[in-house]
Amino acid sequence: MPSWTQRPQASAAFLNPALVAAVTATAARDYERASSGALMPWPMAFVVAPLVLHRPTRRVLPISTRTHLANWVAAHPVLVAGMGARCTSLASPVREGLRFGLRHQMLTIEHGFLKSSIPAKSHPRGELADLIKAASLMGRWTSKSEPSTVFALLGVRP
Amino acid sequence: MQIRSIILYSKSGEKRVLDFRLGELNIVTGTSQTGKSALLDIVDFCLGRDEATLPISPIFNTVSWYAVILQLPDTRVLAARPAPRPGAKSVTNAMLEVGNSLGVPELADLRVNTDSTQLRQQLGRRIGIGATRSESPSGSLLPALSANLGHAVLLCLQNQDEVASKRSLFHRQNERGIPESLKATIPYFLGAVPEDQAVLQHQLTQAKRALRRAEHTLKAAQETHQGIEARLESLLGEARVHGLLTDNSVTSDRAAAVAALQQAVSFQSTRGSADEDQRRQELRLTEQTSALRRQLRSLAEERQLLNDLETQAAGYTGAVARGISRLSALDLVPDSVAGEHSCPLCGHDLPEPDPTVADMHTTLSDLRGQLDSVQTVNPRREQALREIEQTAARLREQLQGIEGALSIIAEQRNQQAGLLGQAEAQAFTRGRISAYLSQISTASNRAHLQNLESDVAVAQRLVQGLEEQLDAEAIDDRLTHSISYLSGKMTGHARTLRLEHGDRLVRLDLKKLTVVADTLEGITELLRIGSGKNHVGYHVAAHLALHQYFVANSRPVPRFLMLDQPTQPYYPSDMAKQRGRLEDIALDEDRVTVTRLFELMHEVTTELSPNFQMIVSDHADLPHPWFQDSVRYNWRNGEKLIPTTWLNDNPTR
Repeated sequence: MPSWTQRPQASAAFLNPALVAAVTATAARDYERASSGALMPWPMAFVVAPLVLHRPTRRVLPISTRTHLANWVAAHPVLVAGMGARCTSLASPVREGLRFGLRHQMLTIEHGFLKSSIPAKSHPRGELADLIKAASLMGRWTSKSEPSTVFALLGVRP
Repeated sequence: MQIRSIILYSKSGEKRVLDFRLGELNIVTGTSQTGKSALLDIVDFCLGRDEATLPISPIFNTVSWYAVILQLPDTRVLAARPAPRPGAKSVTNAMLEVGNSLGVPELADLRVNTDSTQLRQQLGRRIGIGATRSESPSGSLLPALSANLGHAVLLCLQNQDEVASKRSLFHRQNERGIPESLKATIPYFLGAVPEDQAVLQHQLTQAKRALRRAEHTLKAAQETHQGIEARLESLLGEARVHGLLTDNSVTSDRAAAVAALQQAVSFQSTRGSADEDQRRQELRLTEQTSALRRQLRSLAEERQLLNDLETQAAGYTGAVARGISRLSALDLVPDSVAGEHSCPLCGHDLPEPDPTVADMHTTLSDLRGQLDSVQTVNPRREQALREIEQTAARLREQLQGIEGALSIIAEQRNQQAGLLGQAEAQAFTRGRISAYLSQISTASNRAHLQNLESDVAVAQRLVQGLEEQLDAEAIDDRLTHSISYLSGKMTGHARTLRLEHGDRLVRLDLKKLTVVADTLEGITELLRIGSGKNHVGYHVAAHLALHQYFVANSRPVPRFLMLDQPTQPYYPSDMAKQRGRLEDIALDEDRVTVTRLFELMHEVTTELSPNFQMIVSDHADLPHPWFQDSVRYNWRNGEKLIPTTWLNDNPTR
């Protein structure tokens, strides 16, 4: 990736590493909580971010984790069709976000799994609130299936 | 798709795992009431059937989950269903996991993550059932049917009532609605109906509509074209009367007349002091128009994306694997520099090996291993395209409406301007002239008429082409071809089994869903005559032939056949069934037939190996070495499907 000052302002702000780190950490935190202790495998971060940050996808994410991932995938063929491309294009911002999170102790890596250390209570406002809410849902949602199944259903491989 | 294992979980977490060999004949033999027949129901249930047909008994109430591990060409799939509560008629909950090296999970790992419909869809698409939809004949109330795993499974199971039945050839054929779905889907499974029939059908409907529209426009244009000079003359006169034209020269040239009329229309249109409000409204509408156009453009892009996806998939996979393709890779770590010397986060080489980084690599390679040859199921393209088409049509209508409104506003403004300074009659005439001019401006053009004609011709060719592709005769031809192939195989099997009428030509009748023989006297339905022994023979012959066909043609049907107690008519008493020995069969010829029946199954399975698996549960326990080699489980002397100890360990509600 180009250095921070050389990036176009808009995309730099949209995909800033702090935001990606916050999204990933939130997802990892709620993944751990929902699966009673199992940690989120780190490659999952590369799927969570595209689902949360892509606005058309975020808009149609379910309200609760009661909707099964397989059913959601079947109901949104167009979004799933573009998943692979979006995940690939977001890979380097996500990498950068992970590095940011590690450096600032929002995340730690334990045996190849992500452990989040951000506090549960925070009250973001505006669009950030939507993003964090979606990230939390993604954490709880993906914890419901085996990681390999999540990747297979979304049509991507790490 | 073949069955690796069937697993039952007790409420307290114990497991009963039955393993089967892939690509071979698997025999489960045993005495009555050991749960042999339940195996078939479990497979039926786990592959997505909603009604619970599992036995209701204290021992089955101790089961909390049923699961099967399925082996696909390159993936394993775990399909599990929670046991229905006692008294519940149906369940839709299900669990689906995909991975290359899935093992048997513990009870604690099981959780509902999908429903039976999606389970059927996902599994079906993974074995290559495409996006088919058979449109119901017009006027029929039946909904359009899309083939899924549920229909394919009907061709893979035969329970103990069906295998010797004279009324039904296929699984669940006596149930409501099943014969119709069988008739609608078997042609597809045989490969007679093209995969994209539904899409073609949809295109045909649209093409026909377009053709009608083009013809209509052409006709209207032709009508306007007639008598054009007279109308122009009369309008010119009218314009002069109202003082819209000053020049009184009479012209017979059409172009000049039109020019003069246009001049008349634009007469006194300079007073453009339109309302502020109107301006604003106009602006708003214009903005809406461009927003709608943007949306239409993005829809077109989405459609392109779906089309590209299909092209990619078709490029990678063969005819069987239509609809599935490789997962798109994220390349988190370049493969060439794998190991603990490179950081998975930044891809840089590290001078010192780092334990954390090594761990991350382990996680990544574990996950990759699970997904190595897993394929993705393409989204339901046909349905998505249809939805996009509908949205686009709606947007286009909106756009037309707004553009209509815009033109009304423009008209109003002109009118106001006219009324301020001119007599009403003048404005009226101008309106009439302008309406007519807009009508003829295009229609009067020869080239335009020709364009319309060629539009009609193009639309006609499109409709014709689609109709040819959807040709019912061609489908019939292909179906006849499959049926005659099947007939050859079936006749061979019937002869091997020395069945009654086996010396005739035996074939499958798809209209009646039965086996028939063509004789000089007419068509004989073979399942209606003869004894139970013949019925079993023809069931086995028909199903083996079907699966031979499916394998040879790589059709999307699970590669297994489960039979429950095919030898039941041969064992005279319960006592004989207990032991299952060949000597217990009273007649010599029956002994030969039973042996031959199993020999045939063994032979066909070996011939198709490793592409076909058979699971037979039966009383018979033949002494031959090849038979004993195929016996996976022998449930005699107390061994059963569900260990009796489960009754003590599990509280029954």
